[in-house]
Amino acid sequence: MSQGGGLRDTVALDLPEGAYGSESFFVREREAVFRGTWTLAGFGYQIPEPGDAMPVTVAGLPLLLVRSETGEVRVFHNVCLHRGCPLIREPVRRQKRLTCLYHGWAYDLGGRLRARPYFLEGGRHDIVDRKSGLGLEPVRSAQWSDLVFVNLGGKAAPFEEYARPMLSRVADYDLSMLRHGDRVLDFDVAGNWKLVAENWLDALHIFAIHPELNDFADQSGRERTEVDGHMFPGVYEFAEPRAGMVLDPGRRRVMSREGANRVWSFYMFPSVFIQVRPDHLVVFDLVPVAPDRTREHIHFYFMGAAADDTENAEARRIVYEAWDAINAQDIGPIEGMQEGRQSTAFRGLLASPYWDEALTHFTHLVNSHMADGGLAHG
Amino acid sequence: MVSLTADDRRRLRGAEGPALKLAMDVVCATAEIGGAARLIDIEGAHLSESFYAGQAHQDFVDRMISLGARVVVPTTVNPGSATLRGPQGATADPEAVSAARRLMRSVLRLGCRPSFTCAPYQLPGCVTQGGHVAWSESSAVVYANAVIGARTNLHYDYEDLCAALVGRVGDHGLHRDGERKASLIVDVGAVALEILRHELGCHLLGHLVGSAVGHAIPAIIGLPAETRLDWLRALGAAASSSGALRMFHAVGITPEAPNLNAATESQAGLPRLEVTGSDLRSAVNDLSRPGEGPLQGVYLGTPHFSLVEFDGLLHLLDGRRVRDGIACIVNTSRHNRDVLRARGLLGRLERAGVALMVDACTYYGLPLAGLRGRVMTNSAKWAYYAPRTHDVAIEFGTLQDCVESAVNGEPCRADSVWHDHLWR
Repeated sequence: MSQGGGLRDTVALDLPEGAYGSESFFVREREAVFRGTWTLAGFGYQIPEPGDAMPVTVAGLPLLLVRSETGEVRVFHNVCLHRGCPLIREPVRRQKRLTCLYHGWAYDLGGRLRARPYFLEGGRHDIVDRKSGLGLEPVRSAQWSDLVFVNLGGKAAPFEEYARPMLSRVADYDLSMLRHGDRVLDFDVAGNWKLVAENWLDALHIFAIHPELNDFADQSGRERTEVDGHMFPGVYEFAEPRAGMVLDPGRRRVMSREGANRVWSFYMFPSVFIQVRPDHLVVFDLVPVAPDRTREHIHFYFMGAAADDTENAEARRIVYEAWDAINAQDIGPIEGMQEGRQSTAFRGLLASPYWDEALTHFTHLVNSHMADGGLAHG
Repeated sequence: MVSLTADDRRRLRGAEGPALKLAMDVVCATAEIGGAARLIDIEGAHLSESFYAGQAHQDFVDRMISLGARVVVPTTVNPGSATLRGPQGATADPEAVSAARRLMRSVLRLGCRPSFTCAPYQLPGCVTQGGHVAWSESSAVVYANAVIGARTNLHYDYEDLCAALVGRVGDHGLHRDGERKASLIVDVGAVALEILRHELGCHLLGHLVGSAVGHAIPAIIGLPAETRLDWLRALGAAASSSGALRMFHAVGITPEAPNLNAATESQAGLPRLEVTGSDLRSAVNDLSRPGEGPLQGVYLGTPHFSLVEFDGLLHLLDGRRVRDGIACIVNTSRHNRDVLRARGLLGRLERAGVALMVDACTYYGLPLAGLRGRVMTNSAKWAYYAPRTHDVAIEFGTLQDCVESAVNGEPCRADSVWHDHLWR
């Protein structure tokens, strides 16, 4: 723009005080934001076979993921009807029943209560009819690719609506071949989860702290992150494939011919960030632990045997190391901001009119969900 | 009495030339009428000068050009009254078409960006929350105030250009904190969530609110957190068509309304409008003008279709084609068209039989002059205005209805949001 139109000295983002550090905000946010929306609960690969189950904690609530006899992933509250004991504490494999460790109440893979040992008297077990209607409380869930999402509040708009902006943008990608890679990167970040999420939306920081990404596709050719409901799509094109940025720079195999030189990223509010690269998928899972602590896990999906074969082991190592380095570059400023924002000198974020539409909308989404509790449709 | 700075006075005296003197005269007079105590800087302007509504437009712009005038803030312009290229409507007067195009080229000589869109907020570098601008497109003014949290009154020809030339406007109306508070409450809590979680809900609500509240500022309560930006945009566009809405609050959603208290000066005694499903159904009837005969076309993109909406459209088309003989025209900006092209989506739209119209407007002006027959739209604003400018019968539906109708060649309501039980 020829006439300037540069940064204006106003506060553009207006989350309430305490949003990045107070315990009470964190607790309310867990309920309004993380239970009110669709959040990532786990991955199908973690329970590969019928009868496999694992416990997870989402937004402070104990859940369990189980693969049914027919192969679907189901999600239940991990709480035994009897005394409220978590049903499983560790992942279990190939079970026919999920059995509470406290009094042995047994549930089938559909969550139905089936047996209460010794319940009626010393030698009498209660065999429960499968039609009794008694059972674990189901959690509203949905699956995309290998990712399992839950809506704990049960009132969010259908998952398809949340995910549609991603699904439609990668409609021509063949995701059916994707298999989980042989490493997960784990990070423990001394910062509020919103700082991590804001960093995902911030397409402006790349030139300054990610030299390898900027070298791959420089800032001047990048576009700002878009806003589409609860989804924030971003996209850029690169000229030449490179090791680390794609699995196979020779590009013998890509998920989409049209997307052979394209990187899509999707932040799905609030907890998951997905990058769709030409030949692999990178999934960031964000878990708020405390107002000032967030765990972050990066999962990788590659095409077919490339996920864990020896032929591609070195190429995968380069991909993992690239992300390890990139994420480490982000964590410094994120942890710094956790301190900096407590300073009396910090008066709110300044937004770039070009880059920060997404950041502004992110703030409004947080505020909307925090307010929604008090509205008619809470 | 408007108090002026030394710079303001110097311009008013003509020390910076006759163009700025004239512009300053107009800005000061407008500020005086608005009751402003002072002038304030703006950081951008959006003008409707580009739309030819008579020779006076061209004369004014020519005069400013001849006086050497240039806008001093980033300035975008509305669609013209004709497209810059291609054939216009059957009844368009060729002289009017040349006049329209000449004016569109002339405004660029004042330093305006060749945006030709009614949705300047879709362009990169748009104003952000708290910024003061001078905009003159009604739907954009509501969007700026309500959804972005920027500040503008509705400006008019040619005062909007004057503001862009001096970079100043009167500090009154929606530029001031106290004037942005809600004066009534609109409660949609009784409307089925399925309707409110659909673009349709906001189109209808906008139409209803506009006709009910005139120029008052409503605080709408009960909209879900899933309400999308484009839906809020539709709400504002519809309400500034059926009424004179310039600003609204969606409590819990828009930036100046984290809660009802923040949106109002005081809640006590505020009138309250309760909206029900059957009220929204009456808005549907209001926006429909049933007609007989075959479907002629489907008109989308009032205000200009966003990239997000294009994504939804492609998703609903799902690789299918518009039936031969049906015009499916999407109105958007040249900026959005260029982005679609860069992303390889323009070809997909063309193959689907969807035509884009840029630089102009489908209900207003010359591109579709003479349009008649039975047509369909998902835009409450288009449904409101098109029967006033074209001889058309309107089938009002959702985007999904529009797509299914275009593909099948006859009007239908395919969307599950129309289930009767939702509308009581």
